[in-house]
Amino acid sequence: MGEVEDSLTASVSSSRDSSGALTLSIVGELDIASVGAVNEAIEEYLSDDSRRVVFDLGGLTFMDSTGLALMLQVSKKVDTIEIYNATPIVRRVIEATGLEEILGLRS
Amino acid sequence: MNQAVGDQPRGRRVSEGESLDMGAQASKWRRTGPWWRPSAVTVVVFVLGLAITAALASVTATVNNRDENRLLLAQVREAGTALSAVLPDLETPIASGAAIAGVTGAQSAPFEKFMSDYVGTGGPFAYAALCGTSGGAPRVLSSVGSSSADVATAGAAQCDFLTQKGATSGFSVTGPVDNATRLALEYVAPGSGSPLGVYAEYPLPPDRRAVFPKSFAFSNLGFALYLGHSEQESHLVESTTSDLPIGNPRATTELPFANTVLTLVGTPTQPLAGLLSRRLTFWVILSGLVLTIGATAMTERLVRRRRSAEVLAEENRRLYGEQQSVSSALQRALLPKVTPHITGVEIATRYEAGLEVMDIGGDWFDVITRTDGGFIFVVGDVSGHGVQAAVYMASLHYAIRAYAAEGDSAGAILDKLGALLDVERDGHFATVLCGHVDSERRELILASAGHFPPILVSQQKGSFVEMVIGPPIGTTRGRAYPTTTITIPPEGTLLAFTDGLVERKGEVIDIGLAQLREAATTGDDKPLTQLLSDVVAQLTPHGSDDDIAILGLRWGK
Repeated sequence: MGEVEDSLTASVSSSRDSSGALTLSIVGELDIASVGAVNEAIEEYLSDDSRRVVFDLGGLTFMDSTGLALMLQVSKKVDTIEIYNATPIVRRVIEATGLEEILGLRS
Repeated sequence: MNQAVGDQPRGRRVSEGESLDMGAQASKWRRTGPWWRPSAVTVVVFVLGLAITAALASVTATVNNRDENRLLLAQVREAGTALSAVLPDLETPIASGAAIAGVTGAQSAPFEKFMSDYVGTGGPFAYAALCGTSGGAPRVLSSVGSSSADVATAGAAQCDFLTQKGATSGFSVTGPVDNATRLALEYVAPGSGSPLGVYAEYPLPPDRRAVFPKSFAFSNLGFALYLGHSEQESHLVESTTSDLPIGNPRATTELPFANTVLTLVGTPTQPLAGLLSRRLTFWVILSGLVLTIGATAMTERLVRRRRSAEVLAEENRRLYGEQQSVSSALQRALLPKVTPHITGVEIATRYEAGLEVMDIGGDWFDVITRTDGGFIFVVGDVSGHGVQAAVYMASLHYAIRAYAAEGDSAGAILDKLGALLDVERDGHFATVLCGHVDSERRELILASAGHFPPILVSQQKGSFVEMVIGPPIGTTRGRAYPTTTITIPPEGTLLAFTDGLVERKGEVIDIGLAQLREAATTGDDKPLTQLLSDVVAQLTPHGSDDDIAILGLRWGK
């Protein structure tokens, strides 16, 4: 488990469960100001051929279209992607954009 | 019909890398000038530094000189005093010898016995003679030691002083005599009887060169001692130097001796106040020069750095302005300038640049008429910001125009857009709401790729159109976007918008959507342009973080 302070507004931490799934927890605000740093951190975590990625967005209070673009890019690189614990604010952004299926939004 | 494209988009940020790239091309010399052309301030600092150094050195040198002169005079006077103290050593034996001769009837033996202690080796004199008179003529009564050659040939003449006119009792001194090897002292004894006197010769050191022991108290001075007031070579008694007369710096003192004076001239052979005092001037000049050069270099460096920064700032300002105008020109070019005139439909648009994001945004709207009397309207948003997002926006914008002109329906247009953008490849995706208005049938066919459905208001009642939202452009390929067909109600007003209008930090979008519905419903009776600006003002009273594009359509009865 590692943690990377990525910017003033967001941080990323990772863990791996017994099945080999990589869990990425993003805390803070994921927008154009923080997306670059978060992307770099995620790139590092993904470099070990992870095939299944789980996002834990319980600590994410805001996400704009650049954040969605980042999640979409991750989804294209791995076999499966799932999002857990999304707060209502983030959940509604994903739903309004019609990305529930593609991003594996779970309740 | 109206158009209310937002005023000049608010200040847009110039990416630093871009502006510096061009700034770095500017020649360094163009900014700061060549090294041999220093700034006026630098020259002033340099000249000022030199002036201060010169003034300090001058003061130091003056003070040092004054100290040296004062010390020199004091030391020469002390030396004179010391010399005065030993002069009686010469006078006393002679006066005593004369007195002994006086009381012993001018016999030779007692005089010679007494004077032998003072003549020759161990005594101050080389020769002493007792002078008396015989029949009024001076003659030598007795003598001790060997006289100089002059005196020997002169014979009795050595005693002439006894009978010379005006001779009074006491000492007189002449010389140097005998090729400047001796000093002659003459003494006339007091008394009323037959005159009696002593002639003595004091030997001078070879070449009249005085040699002092190292421990001599005044060994840091050079001396010259003259008989009389003048510093003539013929009157030199002795000196420590052959370089005569002594030049500056010098000090003089006179000591009474016999019937005349001894003139003592002194000069320092080494700094009297110590080496530090004399070198102080040198150190003042050296450190002054070093400081001046340092201050000059520092000043020039600071001046150049500031000049460089000013030039760079000016370049950045210019580039910033250029890029800003490029950005706004690009965005303005991509928004429809003249909204087409369509019978029976009022169209209004509004664009607001975001406060937080200074780069060009990816929001757009468009209205395209079709030959069948209907028209296509589009509101879209490419994710992210910057020129890249704007370029994808432009490609989608013009592709939609082309597809619409070919007669494609709303769903088909979205299907085809999938080939233009790939979030994995391009890093951006786009949400697009596409509507096809069939004016004859008064129907609206809508398709959405991840975009908010529009709100439809009629008769003071408003609701978001219920429709299926497909995935955004760039996230999937080969998908057939579902369409939703609704009948346009009488006096219906439709507002399509981008997320900047309803999305706010710390707030679920449903709140923004509810506010929009409220604002659109209550403002239904306002002119369409007014409605658009009121909606924007009510939902984002302090301005929006993100860009906002909003398109309004209003039908008649």
